[in-house]
Amino acid sequence: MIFLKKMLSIFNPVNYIIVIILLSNGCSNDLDVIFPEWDNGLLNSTTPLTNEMKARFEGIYNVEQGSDQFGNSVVVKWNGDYLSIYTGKNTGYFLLQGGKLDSTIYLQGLWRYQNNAETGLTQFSMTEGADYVLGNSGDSSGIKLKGTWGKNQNTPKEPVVLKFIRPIKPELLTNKFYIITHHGSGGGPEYLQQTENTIEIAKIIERYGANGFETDVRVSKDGIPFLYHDNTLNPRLVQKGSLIGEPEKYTFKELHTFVRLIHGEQIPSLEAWLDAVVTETNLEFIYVDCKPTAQPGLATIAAICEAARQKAASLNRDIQIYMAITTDDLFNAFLALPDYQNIPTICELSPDKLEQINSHVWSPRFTEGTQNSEVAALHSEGRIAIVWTVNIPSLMEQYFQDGIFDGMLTDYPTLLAYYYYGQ
Amino acid sequence: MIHIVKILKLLPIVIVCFLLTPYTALGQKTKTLDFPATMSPYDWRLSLGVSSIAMPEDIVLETASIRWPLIRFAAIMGLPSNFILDTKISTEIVTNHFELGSRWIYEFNDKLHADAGIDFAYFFGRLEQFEYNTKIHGWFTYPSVALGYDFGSLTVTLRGSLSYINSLSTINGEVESNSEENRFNGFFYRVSLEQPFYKFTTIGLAFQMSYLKLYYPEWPLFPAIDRYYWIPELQIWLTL
Repeated sequence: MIFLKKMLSIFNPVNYIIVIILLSNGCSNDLDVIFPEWDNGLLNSTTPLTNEMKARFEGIYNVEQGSDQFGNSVVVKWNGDYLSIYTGKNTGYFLLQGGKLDSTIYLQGLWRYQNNAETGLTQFSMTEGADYVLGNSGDSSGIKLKGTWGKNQNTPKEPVVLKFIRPIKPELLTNKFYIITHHGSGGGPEYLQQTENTIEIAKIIERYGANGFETDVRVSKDGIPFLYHDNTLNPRLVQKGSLIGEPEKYTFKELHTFVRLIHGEQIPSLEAWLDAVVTETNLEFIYVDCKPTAQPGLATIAAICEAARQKAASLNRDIQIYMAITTDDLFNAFLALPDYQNIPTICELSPDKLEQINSHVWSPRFTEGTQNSEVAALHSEGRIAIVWTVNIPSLMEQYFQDGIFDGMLTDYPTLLAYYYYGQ
Repeated sequence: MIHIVKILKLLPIVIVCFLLTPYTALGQKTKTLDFPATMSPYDWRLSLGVSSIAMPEDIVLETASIRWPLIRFAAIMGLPSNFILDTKISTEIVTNHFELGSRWIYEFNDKLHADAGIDFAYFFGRLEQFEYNTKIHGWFTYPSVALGYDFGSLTVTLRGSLSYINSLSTINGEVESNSEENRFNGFFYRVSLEQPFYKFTTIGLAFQMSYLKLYYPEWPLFPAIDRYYWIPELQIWLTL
């Protein structure tokens, strides 16, 4: 009888109501991220701007209208055929293309908050100051970009006006300060149209303010170094497919053939990726983050990095390529490599270990503070320091103002570019 | 949905707990923690429990799994005029959350009850292992309302709460960064069951679904994405 009463308790209908609530709670964290595009063909009627024209209107602008959305000031900078405007508010940016038609400059593209899905179309025209930009007359003080912005794919109607204040300081364009994207992530794999750690994202990441790239390398079952961040093949990074579990279980051919990353790309080998970076980008700093499972392939990774450096030298490319030693096990394995002292490395461990392997770059975690005395000591030895991974806006600003690092690793290069070029 | 499926794997444990309810406990008045029941002034009760949270993939950066058990200690005390004082301490060592508040109980009849209240919480975290040197602290506010039904040997409570961040400071090394003043942070709702367990103790089970920008146990993951996340959580406790 007691047992029967106990059994009846589990058939209490209330328990099942709760289970139904649990099952029906399919609340998803998937984000509906859109990438709005113009389809009015306006830019087809324009003539591309020359590099001299582009350089004339790079600079710091005040936001005369639209400051609630984009902050009080912005940095305007060209990257190839794309005009990037870094706003500093909500890690926001504009990404535009443009050209001239008669004496007016037209720009179209999108705005976006990099740390969430808010985005929309935007367009600008420049008549005031256009004569100066086009090289006809005047000076830069009259430059004004008048435009509109909107939400998602809707026609932009809200006004935004940017007024030129001053150019970017020339030394900032030549100094070696490294804005290093954290494996090409925009905060999450769905926030950009290209997947992290791919050739595709490396080719376009400079539009987002980065001049450096940190990539994650693992070694396949047949000893081929390849790029992939997570410990497993999972829905965050890969589409549904036949391979599951740790990527190191498979040969590179299997990975390259059977895995499609979430935006459709293939997993690249380190060799192919570095080749593309050297020949098809202007990136200046490559941080090859060796994952713990890359230990058996350290010699191969070192050789691939050296080959890339030599190719860069033959092309007169100004690019630094470093292997990052991130754990004690990797450190000990690295010590066993012949001539390890002459392999360019980044050391994420203590300054003592950095000295032991003769690393040129020290890379501490941001949670230890600015560590200015340690960094200054390294500077006196001709070494540099890169801090990782700084994503919190207020912290990034403080580290930038109070620290003396030579670069930062971040998921938000647009924000770091705002602080750096806005000096 | 993956999160829900993983939490459901704990369901057999829950059913076993309910099966353990002895015959002698059935029919006794349930000493509840969450159910909106009036208490005699200055009567008090304690509870000890554990909470299991499924963090979003974006924040964990690997497949989401139940990996953040929180220990929860709670106490409530009856006050005059149908008020109850409640306090909770949640901890997982690197994260600590202290909550103090009050609620007012209204009994529609002897089975259907409701309450409304507010809790203020101080939260601090400290991570100084594995070459971290980070501290965080802040204040939260949680207004809430609840509706509960007493089935006799079982009570069911549905509670909804808002979450506000009043202040938040992080200290990394020597660098202090203050942010997030008086910001709406989201909401959470909870369905809880409480029934007699053994002698005069009560077992409680709750499923909580939070829709928040920042859920304090996730701070050691240093999330920087500015969006709301659904975060499911399973709580189980014993009221002594």
